[in-house]
Amino acid sequence: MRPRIGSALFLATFFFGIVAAGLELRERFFLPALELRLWGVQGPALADPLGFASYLSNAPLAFHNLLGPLMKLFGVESFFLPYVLILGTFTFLLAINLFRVEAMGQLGLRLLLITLCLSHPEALEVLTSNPLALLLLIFLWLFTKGLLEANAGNLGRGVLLMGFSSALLVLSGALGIAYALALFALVPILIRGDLFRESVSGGFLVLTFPAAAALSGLFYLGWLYHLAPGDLAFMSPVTLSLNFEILPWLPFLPLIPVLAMPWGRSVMARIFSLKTPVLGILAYVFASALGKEFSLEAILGMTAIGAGLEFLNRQQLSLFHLLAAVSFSAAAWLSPVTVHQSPAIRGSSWHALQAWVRAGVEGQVMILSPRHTLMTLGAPNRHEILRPGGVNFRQRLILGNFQGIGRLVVEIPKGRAAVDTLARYQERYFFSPPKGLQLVFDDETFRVYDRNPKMAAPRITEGPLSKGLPDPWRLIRDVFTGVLFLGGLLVVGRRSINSERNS
Amino acid sequence: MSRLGEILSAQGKITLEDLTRALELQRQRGVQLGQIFVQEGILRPEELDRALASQLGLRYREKLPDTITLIHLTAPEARRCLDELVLPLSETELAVADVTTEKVKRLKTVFGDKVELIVTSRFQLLYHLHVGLREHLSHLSVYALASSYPHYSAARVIVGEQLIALYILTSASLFWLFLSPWSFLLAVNVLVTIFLVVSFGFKFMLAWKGSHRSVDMKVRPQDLAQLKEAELPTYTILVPMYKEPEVLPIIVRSLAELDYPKEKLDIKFVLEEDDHETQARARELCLGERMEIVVVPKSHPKTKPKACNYALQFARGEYLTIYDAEDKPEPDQLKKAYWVFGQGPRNLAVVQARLNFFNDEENWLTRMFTMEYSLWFDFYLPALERLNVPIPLGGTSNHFRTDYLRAVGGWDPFNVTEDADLGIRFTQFGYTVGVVNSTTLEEANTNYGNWIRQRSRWIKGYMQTYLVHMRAPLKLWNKIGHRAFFSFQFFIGGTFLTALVTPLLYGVFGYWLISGTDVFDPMFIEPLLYLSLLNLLLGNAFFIYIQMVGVFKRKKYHLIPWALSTPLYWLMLSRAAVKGLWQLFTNPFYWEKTQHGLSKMTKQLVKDAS
Repeated sequence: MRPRIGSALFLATFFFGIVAAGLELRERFFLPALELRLWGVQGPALADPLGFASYLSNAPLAFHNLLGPLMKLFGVESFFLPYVLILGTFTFLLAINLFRVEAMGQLGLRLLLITLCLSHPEALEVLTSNPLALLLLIFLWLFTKGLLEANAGNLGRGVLLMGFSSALLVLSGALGIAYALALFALVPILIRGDLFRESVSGGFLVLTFPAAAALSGLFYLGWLYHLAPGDLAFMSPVTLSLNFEILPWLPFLPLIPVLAMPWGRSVMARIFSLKTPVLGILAYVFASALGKEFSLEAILGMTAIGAGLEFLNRQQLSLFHLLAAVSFSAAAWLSPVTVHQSPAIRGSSWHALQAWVRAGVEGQVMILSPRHTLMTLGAPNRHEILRPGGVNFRQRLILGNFQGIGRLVVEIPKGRAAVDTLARYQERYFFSPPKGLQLVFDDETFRVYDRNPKMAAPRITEGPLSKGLPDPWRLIRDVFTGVLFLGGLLVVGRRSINSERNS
Repeated sequence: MSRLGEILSAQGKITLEDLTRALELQRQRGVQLGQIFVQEGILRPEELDRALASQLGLRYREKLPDTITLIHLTAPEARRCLDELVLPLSETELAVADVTTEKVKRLKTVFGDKVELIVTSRFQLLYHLHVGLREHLSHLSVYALASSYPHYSAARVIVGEQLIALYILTSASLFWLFLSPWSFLLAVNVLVTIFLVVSFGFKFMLAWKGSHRSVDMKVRPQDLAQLKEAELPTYTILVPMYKEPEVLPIIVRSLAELDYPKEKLDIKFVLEEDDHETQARARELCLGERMEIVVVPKSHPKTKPKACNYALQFARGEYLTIYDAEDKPEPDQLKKAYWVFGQGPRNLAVVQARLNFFNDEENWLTRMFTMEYSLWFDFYLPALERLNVPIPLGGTSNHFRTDYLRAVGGWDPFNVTEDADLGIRFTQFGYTVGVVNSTTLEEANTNYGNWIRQRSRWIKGYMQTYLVHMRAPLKLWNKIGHRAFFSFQFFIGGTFLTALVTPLLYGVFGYWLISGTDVFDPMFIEPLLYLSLLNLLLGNAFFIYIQMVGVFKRKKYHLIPWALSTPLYWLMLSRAAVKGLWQLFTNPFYWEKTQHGLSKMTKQLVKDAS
């Protein structure tokens, strides 16, 4: 990549990152209140129970008037709108730049395609839904730059950048880990040259080592300070539980060829020579990380992108390839996807809950989210009662639905002894509660009130073009998606046949 | 005066075709016609000398008398004899080698008609210069630096001021330790931790700068294509050896493969007087006219730099380089180095080529060694050059401007890493040190004991170098600037200090991990603990990672997984550092000889070369 473009990208990323961080801070204070206003909650009903009265007076009301139409247009909730706008612009800029370079014949179309993948609603959601967006932005920039450097013949520096970016990425939480794994799977296809041909294990090791080291460091720190990794900087609370599911993936890829040489190496080489299955795995990882109810179409779309990549990898840039890539990407965009938002909170309620879980205290937890508080005005059945340590409880952790916790009420029927156990386990949070945490304690009930101002509730959304479509339009959308998908396949298939004939 | 070609043709020594071809080569290479006849094997050296004598109307003497004494020569006269390749036989006779019309004119202007010039072979003349000036040159090779620039000589390990400073520091430390042991240990820990954090940051910056592609593109093929052979200067190549006759064929072959006009090479095999095996092997191989054997008289210390100093006095090249016996330099290395000199600043004194190994696959040690060298030479040194700070030279393949090398006093025979010292000394003298993107392949140590010997010498040498240049720290700062001073502290000082403290820190960590003791708690107050954690987690991981990345420029990807065992290698380094430190006090000038030729690859190379 030419230095000027690289610099422009960096500056753009940096600028948008700063803006995103600034917005994030601002969000924490007044946007939830704005959101409440949009739902029609007014006056004391809004301010008093949640304690936002002081912030509300500073809220820019002009922004609020703009918010509604934009939300509808982009199909996202207000809280995430600034991120979507900013990161959408960023990815667009990235794509345009890459396309320009590609058009000059300096880079493979693969890069353009990966950019499109990154701009896919799922990826965008990951980036936009998390306060760690800045970290992810830096990752994105480092990784892309590393890739460009590597493909421009500067493999050493490229790998350095990609390695560091992967370390950053895993620090951002489970979604980051999933994303990193997905990218690791892609890297053999993306990086030109003979790195993976010469040493599959070496190639993966050099890319995964910083990430593994970063994770190990976090676990060590967690052990050292008797904290869950989720308590540490950059780690989303959701990460804790998700990590255990995803961690086995980390050693998986590099270990196979290492442990099973030489046949393992040959198997890996064969897999990578096909590539498409790798993309299937990648899609699975994506989808698993993003929500339990993943869309089969999305996986198919991604696998098809893999097929496209496989051909693009071997051929020169052509209209066929471009069409195929655009078709697949569009199909993936359009396919309905279930996305669970996972904005991280570092609220003390989470710590309290974690401590409680680790202490093995029996009892019941009632989670009252601000949305619940809102819903009690008209829909009082939205609260959930879970048993810590139980299957449901775990599932809720895994699904990452705690981010919206505004108030946590812990009821412990076994009395003082259990509370003492709990207190000993995490006295930091119980005898010296952080700001915003209210502690109510008596012989029978242990209550922790957390007034975390970040009020995002779990939600389900879909690809932007499919959001809120009425049934007839859904059919049209599905047909359109299918046409695009099959069209892409047709293009790739025809190209494949032609290239076989020519060879 | 008849032309040389005509004389030789008339004598029937050459044919017309020989002459035509030689004239064409002369035009290309810009050397004397006679040299081409010899180099191409058309004439024997003595035949050329006879013809030249005949052409110039001088007497030729095949063998000079053994009774020549040169004791009466002053040092400048001796120097002149070596520079001009002349030898006073008596008050009226002067033997001269490598004669040309210009040289004869010049000598006649100096000596007048009273002195008769007698042509002889270079071999004869050099032999008698060696014999006649032996004591004088031997003395110079040991004491030239110590007498000209005593403050740069490692002949004294620690000078008075350093001893006083050390005494005060030790006393104060003991006093403090006695009064308040934990606060003292805390202070030490603070210093070590900060040093390691900064060192980590510095190495990170070097790795980053060194990873840039442009450092590998310094000399491109199209640059070399612009060089005209006729304009290339004479290049001296020193090959110091000691008791390694078995690997001699490798370097002989490598030198023969050099892409440089053979007539412009001044190759010298530098052998020790008591090394009869290598001398015999060198004679067996008939090294020929362009490869001289310089026998270094026995004296103390018996070190490579002393041998090189001795040979330096016979060097005729405008540029000079050193290769080890098992070295395989890239054929165009001399041209690349010359090109870098041409493009660099006028004060560019030395250019270091990259070193790497041909036997990286042999065992764990060679793999680790290869990764270390790749990082050092492919990343760190180019980055140091970019930062314009002192570069510690590597053991071989450093290309000097010969006159600059002489100006700074040559190598320090008392320093066991004379190359590293020289790099810093050049900077102190206001010269600069560069690097060139050409590689010399060497034999990596395959044997643990041999490796420890070699590495302990290197670390001892780094300690010597540090002590020598830190005799007057403020002066050093003023001379080389804050950036170079900083770099010197962390690159030279940091190398051995890190090796020494690593096992201590690992020990503390391991003991705490196993026992869970809180005895070290006073040493790790909160902010310091965070820095220590940074070193432990980030620093260690980074240094392992950078080892992995280090091999990328050479595409030795198969080595990457082995980088995980780097901590083990660090412990070996520490073992060598302790040995080096011990020797610094007990036997500072002892040269731990690295035995070459142990590798299977080397044996194969010898076989091929033979």
